[in-house]
Amino acid sequence: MKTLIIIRENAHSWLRDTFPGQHPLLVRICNKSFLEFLFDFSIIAGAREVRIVSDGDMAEIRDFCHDGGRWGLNISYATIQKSDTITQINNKNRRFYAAERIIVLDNLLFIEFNKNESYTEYLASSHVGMLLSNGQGSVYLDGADQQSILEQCGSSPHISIPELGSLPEYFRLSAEILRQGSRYILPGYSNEDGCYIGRNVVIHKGVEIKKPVIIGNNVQIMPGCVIGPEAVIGSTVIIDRESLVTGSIVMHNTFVGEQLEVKNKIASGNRLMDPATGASLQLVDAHLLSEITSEGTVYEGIVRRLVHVLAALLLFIAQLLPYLFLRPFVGEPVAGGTGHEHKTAQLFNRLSLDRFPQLFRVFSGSLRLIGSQPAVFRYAETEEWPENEMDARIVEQFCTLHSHPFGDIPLLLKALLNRKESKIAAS
Amino acid sequence: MTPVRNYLIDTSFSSLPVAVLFLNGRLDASNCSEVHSVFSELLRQSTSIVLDCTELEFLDSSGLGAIVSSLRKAIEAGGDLRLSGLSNNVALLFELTKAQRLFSIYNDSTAAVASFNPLKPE
Repeated sequence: MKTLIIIRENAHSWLRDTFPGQHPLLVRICNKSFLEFLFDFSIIAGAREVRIVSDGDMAEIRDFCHDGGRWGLNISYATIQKSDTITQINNKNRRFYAAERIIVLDNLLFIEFNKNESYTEYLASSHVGMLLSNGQGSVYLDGADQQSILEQCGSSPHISIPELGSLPEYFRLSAEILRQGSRYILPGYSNEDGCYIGRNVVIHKGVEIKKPVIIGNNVQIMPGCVIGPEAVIGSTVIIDRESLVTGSIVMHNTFVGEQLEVKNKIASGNRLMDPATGASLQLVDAHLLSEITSEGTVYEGIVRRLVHVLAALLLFIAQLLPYLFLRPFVGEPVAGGTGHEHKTAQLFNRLSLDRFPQLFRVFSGSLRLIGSQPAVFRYAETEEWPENEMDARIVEQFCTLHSHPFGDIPLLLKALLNRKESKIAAS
Repeated sequence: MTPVRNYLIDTSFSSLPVAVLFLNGRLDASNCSEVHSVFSELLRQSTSIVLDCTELEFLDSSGLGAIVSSLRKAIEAGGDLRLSGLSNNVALLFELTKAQRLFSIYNDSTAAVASFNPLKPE
């Protein structure tokens, strides 16, 4: 038995739109690509030789699959024309399967099967021709119709092709696969039914995990989170404190901020999608939902440190004399005071002289001149509208996401000019 | 572009004028301060306020913060702020941040205004 997988480039455009930058067959469902599920079926069907044919670019597929050694398969590749029918494709690949039977998976993303059932006899005994079709794709049997060895199977194993042409159908299928996890080979360690955990997963204290749930590799789940039921967490994901992820999919490379509720949604990078309504929101607030990217380079860190030290030096020179002159007149602040001492203290703060001693920590490298807490000046102080700590953190996250070593200079100037009676506590 | 399209005072309930503030376009960090200032002005005319978001296309956390801040001011003034016409996209942010629990949300401003009716049966 062999398998022929036909990939039509123009098919599954909804997947390309929903998850751009990925080949449709490499999009993951329950942390495993569609293509790997097809490989699983091929293996269970007794076919270790697979040929992938496509009328489009297969570079991504080839890079992912190579020769199939990872799955114990022998994978080969061939091209077809857009106009080729299934018969023409089969004829072009006659040499591939020679006298053997072949399962042709035409334009398919997924086959529902059960790894605990037997498919080899069933497929060997079924007649050549269309086995399954749903208008989008089909399973076709070709090759020798070996009448002499045909025997009826006692009962047909479960095999079907789900409708998979939209995001809601993808979402539904994902939940279905997770609920029926024992039917498939799902990635991750599974000591108990309904719970699949990948490698290098850190689950902090106070996290509640409700089955069924699947978690990928390199995942951090911070304290107080509730994950599940029916949660699919991809690889390289951080779920920040006290967030809830239920009935949802968090795709790989996604950061979910703290105290959020991801309920019956799909989160992919900074995109939040609601399969029920078709709504899709691209968030600009990195502290809520964002793609996990690698941190700035070492070079950027050195440049930032240099810029901050030089700016701190200039500020030191500018503030030294006023600080020495005014400091002796600034006592403990008197609440509601309006006297001369209070006005001196106000001037002292207005000129940011209260931050003067912290400049030495910038020189020593233990503190940033401007940044998210801790820093001499917080990013939040560059704006006038923050009224509480939550508002401040919004500004800080925004600035951190868009920060640049040299961009800190204008922000510093803004913070210096914006020294009103700030409700935001400095570090 | 200004996020505040217009506002009006609905006097259907003579004893309780309801202000309706219409938002449109984007409400984000660059323009949310305008909502703060308009809202403060509006609060002097009525403490029962409806924010009509029918034409609001985009909201980020700064914009949401401005709306939550407005709710806080309305409550402190003894009134309330209710929302109407949230699009599915904008509603996603409210659901994600659990902010939808803070507000009474209606399909349109007529229903939102009617909800302030002091004679409305419980």
